[in-house]
Amino acid sequence: MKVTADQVTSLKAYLRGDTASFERINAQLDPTNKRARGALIAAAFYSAAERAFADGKRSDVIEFVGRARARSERLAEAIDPRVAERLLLATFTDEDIDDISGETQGDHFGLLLAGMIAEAQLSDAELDAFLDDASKLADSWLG
Amino acid sequence: MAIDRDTSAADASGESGSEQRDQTRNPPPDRPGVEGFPSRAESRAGAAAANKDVDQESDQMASDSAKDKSALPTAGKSGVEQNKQGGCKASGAEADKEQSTGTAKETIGGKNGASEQQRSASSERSANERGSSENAQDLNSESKKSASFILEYKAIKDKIDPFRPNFDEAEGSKGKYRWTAREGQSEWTDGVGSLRDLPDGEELGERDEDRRTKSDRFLGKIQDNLDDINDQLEKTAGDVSDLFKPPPTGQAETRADNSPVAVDVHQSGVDPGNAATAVLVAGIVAAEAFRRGRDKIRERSAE
Repeated sequence: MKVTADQVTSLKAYLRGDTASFERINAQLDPTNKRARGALIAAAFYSAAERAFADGKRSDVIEFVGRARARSERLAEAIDPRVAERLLLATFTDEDIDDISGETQGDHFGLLLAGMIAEAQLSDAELDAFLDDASKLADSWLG
Repeated sequence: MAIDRDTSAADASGESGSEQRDQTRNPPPDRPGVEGFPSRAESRAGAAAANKDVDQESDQMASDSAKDKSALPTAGKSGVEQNKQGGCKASGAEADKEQSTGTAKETIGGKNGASEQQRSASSERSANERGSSENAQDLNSESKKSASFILEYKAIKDKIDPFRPNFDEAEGSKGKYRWTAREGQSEWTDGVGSLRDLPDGEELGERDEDRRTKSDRFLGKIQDNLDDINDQLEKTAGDVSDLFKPPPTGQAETRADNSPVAVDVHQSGVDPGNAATAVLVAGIVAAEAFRRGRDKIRERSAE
């Protein structure tokens, strides 16, 4: 099982905030290959967190979550600050997230990933390179 | 002696000569892909040839040392025999010198000139070492005596401490140095300005290993939820657009309440220690009151 090009394209549309393109590509994806795209999202989340919090400061994580929630009322309701901080801390500390359900993790991975990409203000080429790295990491996870 | 025509022609014309000098000034190619840099096959062939040369040299050295060992007693023997033949009894050093030069003279025109010269030289050396000895037989017997003494000394030493370490081979066996061709996967490093800027291979290795370990550790935390993570992405697609809008203007402020606030008085609970103390005090007071009352009753009854 490997990450496909369509899955990478759909995630790129999501991270650009292009909801129409995302939904159109998403409808064409193979439903039996869900695990590969889940690995791609998690790998992208891990890579983005590794770049954004290279210093490993908890205060940076808290400030980022606060900024993301302050963007809109919807985001403030959708993002649980404690869950978001724990998921980000889990990328570079021994934070245990076993008690957080898969659905909650999925909700927060997408929003936090998009928040980190939006703050990084990546160009199109940089976003492609980032997704290429994440795809390779996901492939290595899938074996 | 043959003269290279190309070289001489190049030297004859001034321009071509200067070009040739420029070519000689250029540094040799040091990276693959540069013109003149040997290919991988050529470098491997060179390494094999270098190893072959090392083997041949070591074999040659071994055979030379064997020859020297075999030549030494022969030379000594011939020197002794010649001493006997010459009948030299007094002034051993001078006589040996003459004998050795005579031997050299005799053997110069012989068939094996080189080996005879070597033998005569070694006999001269041994004769000079003997120096003041009068005849060769005495020396022979002395050398036999010293050899037997060394043998006995070693035998006794082994008996005293048979498990002693062998210091003669303390450094262990040394293998031959061999040239090896670079592996195909190895990469050339970029140049650095100073030695301090050289990358530490150990650190880089640890970093890569550390990153791999961290990502694997994170995978272990979310491995069972990959399907759910995929499904939830569609549900949050509507909220993502807010993240790409410009952030709200102004700055975050915390509202402060200036109006007075009624605060409940702190009510501490009953402490067991205080209760015990109260019971004790009450008991003492009651006992004292009882004692005074009893004393007054006794006084009235006495009156």
